[in-house]
Amino acid sequence: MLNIRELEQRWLRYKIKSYTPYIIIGISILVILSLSVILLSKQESNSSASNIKKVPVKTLKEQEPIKKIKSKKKQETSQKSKVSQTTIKTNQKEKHTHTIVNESKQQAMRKVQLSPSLDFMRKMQDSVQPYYRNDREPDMKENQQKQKRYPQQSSIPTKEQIIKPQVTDNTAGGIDIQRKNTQNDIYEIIQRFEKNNNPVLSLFVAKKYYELGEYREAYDYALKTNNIDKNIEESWIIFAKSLVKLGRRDKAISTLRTYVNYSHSGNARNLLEEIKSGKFK
Amino acid sequence: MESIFVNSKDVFLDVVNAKDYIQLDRVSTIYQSLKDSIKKPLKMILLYGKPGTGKSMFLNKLYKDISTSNEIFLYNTPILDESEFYKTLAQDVFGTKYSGELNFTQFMKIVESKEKQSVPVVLLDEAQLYSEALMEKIRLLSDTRTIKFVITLHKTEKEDLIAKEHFQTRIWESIELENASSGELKIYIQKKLMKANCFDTANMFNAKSVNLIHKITDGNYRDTNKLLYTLFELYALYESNHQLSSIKTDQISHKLIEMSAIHVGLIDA
Repeated sequence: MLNIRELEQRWLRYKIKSYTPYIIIGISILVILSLSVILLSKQESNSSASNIKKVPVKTLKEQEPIKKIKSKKKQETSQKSKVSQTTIKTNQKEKHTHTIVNESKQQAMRKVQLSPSLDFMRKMQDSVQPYYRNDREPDMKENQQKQKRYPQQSSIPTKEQIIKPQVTDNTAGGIDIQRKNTQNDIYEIIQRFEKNNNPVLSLFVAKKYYELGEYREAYDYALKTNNIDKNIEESWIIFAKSLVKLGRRDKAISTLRTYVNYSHSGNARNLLEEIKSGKFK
Repeated sequence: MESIFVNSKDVFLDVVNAKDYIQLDRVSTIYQSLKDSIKKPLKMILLYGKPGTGKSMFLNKLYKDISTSNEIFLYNTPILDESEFYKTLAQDVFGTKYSGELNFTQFMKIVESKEKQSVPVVLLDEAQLYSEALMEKIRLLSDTRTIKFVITLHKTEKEDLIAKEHFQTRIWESIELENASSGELKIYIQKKLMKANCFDTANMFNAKSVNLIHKITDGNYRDTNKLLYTLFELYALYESNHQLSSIKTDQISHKLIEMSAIHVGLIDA
């Protein structure tokens, strides 16, 4: 006589036994897969760590031009140190940057010559091309008087547009640390400006100096920009603002008035009103 | 009315009965060649194969088919005693009763004294059980062409040796029987069930379930019969316990096949 219950139990045991190898194989495959995933992630983290190690080398590249400028112009380097000091006060991020700059300076002393990275400048120049003008006129005031036609202001790039190329998108190539080295940028741009007299570069320098509170420098570079191209509204505004900040409010008003009469710029008019009313100090 | 499962179970009782013989293409071809061999002036015919491949069924079928036309004698169980063997043959084949011991020489005298119009055919099943000495006498007897022997042997290493050493040169025909293929097994099962009017259960066997049975039994007819007997016994038990709803009835349940195999020892669990 068959015992169904006992047979069913034996059958269940048999089924479990027959599936055991498959379960073991499945588990071992899972273990192998998870181990390989862990190993891969470890490898990736190692490679990213090595990327981070490369960063100081990159900064050294950036530092090299500073060294050259330093040797060429002692005056400018003294200004640079001044600027760096003021930056520490104004911006925390900048502060961090400067500490790294100092560190990298020390490293650069020890390191062999490194070539500068010109990617940033190349991008800058690309964005600059449409605004480049060769017609240089020495006297700003004369230009103002002689000028009859007013060029389109809309083509002048905004601040963001000019600064934008600084931030490169490196999402594809692992971790890349972006650093805002304003001082370096300024000196590089000054260097470039001295070579090609591009008004966009001098305007950028003027704006940067203005942002850093270096109004004397900002005034100088705005003046240089106006001398090269008298139709850049932003340059005139920076010029006037710097004058106000330097305590030459009257000159700022008179200059702006002349410019507003000539260009009918809304922004310039607004600034003029603000200066007059004392809103802008 | 009796359950279809009980009827189906009885179909697979392991009984050698010529009327239960299932005609399969390959097997019927072999059978035909065996039948033709009987008519030829052969000394001996060897039928060999693994246990459960249908050798006994073959002999029974052959006996049933040609007993009306030929003088044929079937010995399903071996007669192990030599004297008893001669005495049985003397009585059955030559109609001579002999009391006391009968040796080979005396038996040969009886054979020579009785002249037969046709050569009688003696079918010996399970010949591997005969002693070597007796097998040698059988060989000598077949050499005289007074009796034609059809013997069946289990195909094992030892039995192969017997076949080679004693009969190789004298056998005119040797026929090997093999296990059924999956397709043959399906036909075998379904034909067997349909022969007993168990059409419903015959339809329950699909290719998948037959493949599983074939995997378990390796196509061996005896093992298949044992397995299916237990299978239908289980079905009948489930039916009597009103548990049929828990198992498949539209087709053969794989669970029950495996349970049957565990019970008959074809699966080690």
